[in-house]
Amino acid sequence: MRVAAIQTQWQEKPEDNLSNVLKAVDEACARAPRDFVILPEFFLGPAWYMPGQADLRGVTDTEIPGPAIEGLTELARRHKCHIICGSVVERQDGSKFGNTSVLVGPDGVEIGQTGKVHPFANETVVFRPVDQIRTFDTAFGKIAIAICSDFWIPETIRILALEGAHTIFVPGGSLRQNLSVMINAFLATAWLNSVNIVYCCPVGKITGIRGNQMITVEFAGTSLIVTPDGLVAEGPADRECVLEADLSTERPLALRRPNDQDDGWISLGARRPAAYGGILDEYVGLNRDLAVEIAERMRQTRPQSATPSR
Amino acid sequence: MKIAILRTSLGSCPASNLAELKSLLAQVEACVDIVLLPGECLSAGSAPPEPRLSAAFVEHCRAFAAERRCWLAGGALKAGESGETLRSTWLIDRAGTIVERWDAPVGAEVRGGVHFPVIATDFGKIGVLSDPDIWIWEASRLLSLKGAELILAPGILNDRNRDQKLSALWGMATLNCVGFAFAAAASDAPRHHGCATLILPHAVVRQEVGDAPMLMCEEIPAEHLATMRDADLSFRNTFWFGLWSRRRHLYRPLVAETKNA
Repeated sequence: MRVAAIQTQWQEKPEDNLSNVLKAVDEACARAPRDFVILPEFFLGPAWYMPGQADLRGVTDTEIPGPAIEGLTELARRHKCHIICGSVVERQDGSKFGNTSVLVGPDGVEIGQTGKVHPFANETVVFRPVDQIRTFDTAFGKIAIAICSDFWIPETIRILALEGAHTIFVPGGSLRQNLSVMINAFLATAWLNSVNIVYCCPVGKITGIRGNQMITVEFAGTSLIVTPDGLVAEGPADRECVLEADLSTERPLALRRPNDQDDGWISLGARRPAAYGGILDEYVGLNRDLAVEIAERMRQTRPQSATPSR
Repeated sequence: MKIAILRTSLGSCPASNLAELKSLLAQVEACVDIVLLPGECLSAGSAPPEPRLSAAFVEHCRAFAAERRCWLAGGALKAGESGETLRSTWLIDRAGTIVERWDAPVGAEVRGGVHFPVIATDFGKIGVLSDPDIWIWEASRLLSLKGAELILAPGILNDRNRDQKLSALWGMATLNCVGFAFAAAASDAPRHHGCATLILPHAVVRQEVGDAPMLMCEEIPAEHLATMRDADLSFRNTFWFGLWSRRRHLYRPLVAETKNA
C-alpha cells in the first residue's frame, strides 16, 4: 500500500493555501503512483478560533462539499488514489463548526467522513464533536482516520485497532514543544496496537492572545510514518515535504497472532476486557469545568504583559 | 520522592542470586522512599526456586522495608499448588507489611488483567503492574485514571522487541500522564536483559540496560507529577489532556469480549 504524507506550509496569504495544496498533491501523484495520500489538519490555514486568528473566519473554514474537497476529489479521480482530505474546519448548521476529514476513493467518490472526537483548546467551545470512532472499508482493507488530539486520547487508536484497522491516518498539528516525546508516543502506539500510523502536519506559526498572555504557537511539521517495527519516515519541522512509504497491510495483522518470535501480539492478544470496566469511569482528578474556563479565556482579548510568551 | 531501582543478574543458583540481591539492597541509601526490584529476582524463565528460599526472600524484603521505612515492590517465580509455575508480585509498605500480593501464570497461555492495585502513600498514589500487564496498555491506563501518579513495574525484559518495549514504557507514561519505574534482571538462559529505568511523561529520566548488577537512585520532585496532571489552560504543558478530555461513553468497545484482535 503506497502512501504519501504531504506536509504543507501555510502561505503568507491564507487564500493561497488551497492552490498550494492542490499543486502539491498533483505533483506528488504525478511523480509516482500512490494508493493513499494524506494532507495535514488545517491544510487550508489556521482556524479562526485559534488565538489572534479571528479575521480568518470565512477564509480558512469551508462547507462540505466545497471547493477544497471538490478539488481534491478531482485529483483522486485523475490519479486513481485515495485522498484523506486532511481535516478542515467545517462550517455546519447554526454557529457550530466541526473539524472534519473526508476520505475520497480512487474513483473520485466519497467513501466517508469523520471528525474530531475529542476537541482541543478553543475547539471545546466552538466545535460540535463527532460521536463515533469508526473505520473505513477500502480495497486495501480496513483503515481509519483519527484527527490530531484524538491520537492523544489513546482509547481512540485502541478501539480502531480492535475494530480491525491495520493503518491509521492521523491528520494533525505538531507543537514545537515536546517533538521527541511526540515521536516516541507514535512509535509506542504503533507497537502496542500493531498498526501502521501515517501522521501528517502543517508548518506554520500563529500569534495571538490566549487568556491574558500574548503567545506564539508553532506548528512544527514533523510528519511521520511508523509501523509496529519502527520509524519509516520523519519530516522536517520547518518546511514542506512529501513522506513516502510502501506499507504492508498484512504485517500489522499478522503481528497480532500469538507467536514466539515477536511479543507485539501480547498487548492486543492477552487482553482481558472483563477486567477493564474502570476505563468507562471518569479520571478521579477531574475537578474543574474546562469548557467554562476556556470560554472565559477566549473572551480575554487584551494582554496583561507586553512581553510575548509561549 | 526518592526511588532506588535495582538491576540484577541471575545465575543458575537461586541461593547465590538471593545473596547477591541482599548485597545490592544493602547499598541502598538510608532515605529512599521506594525500592523497586525486578519481577524475577531469584530465577529466570520457568524454573521456580525452592519454597523455603522464596519465603526467606520475601521475609528479607519485609525486614528491609521495615528497617529502612521504605516501600518495596518486587517479584519472583514460585511453584503453584498443581506444580505450575507462577510469577508472584508483591508490594510491601514502610512498616514491612505486605499490602498487595498476587500470582500470575507464566507461559504460552499468559493472559493479562490479573490485578491493578492503586495504593495511597504519604507521597501520592502509586500503582503496581506485573508481566504481561506491563505491556497491555489498558492496565497502566486504569491505574492512571484511578489516580496513580507513579507505576512500579517489577518486570522482565526478554530478547524480543527490547527497544520497542522500552519505547512503549515511555509512550505509556506520556499517553497516561504517569511516571513509570521498571526493573528487570539479566540472565543467560533464558536470555533476559537487565534494566533499571525511571520515566516521566515528558522524558526518560534515566535508563540503564545491561547485564551487570547495578543500583539506580533518582529523585522525583515533590508535586511534580500532580502538577503535570492538572489541566494547564495555557497549554505550555499538554500531557494532562489525555486524562481530562475523554468521552467515556464512546469507549464501550474496550470492555467488549468479542472485540479482542
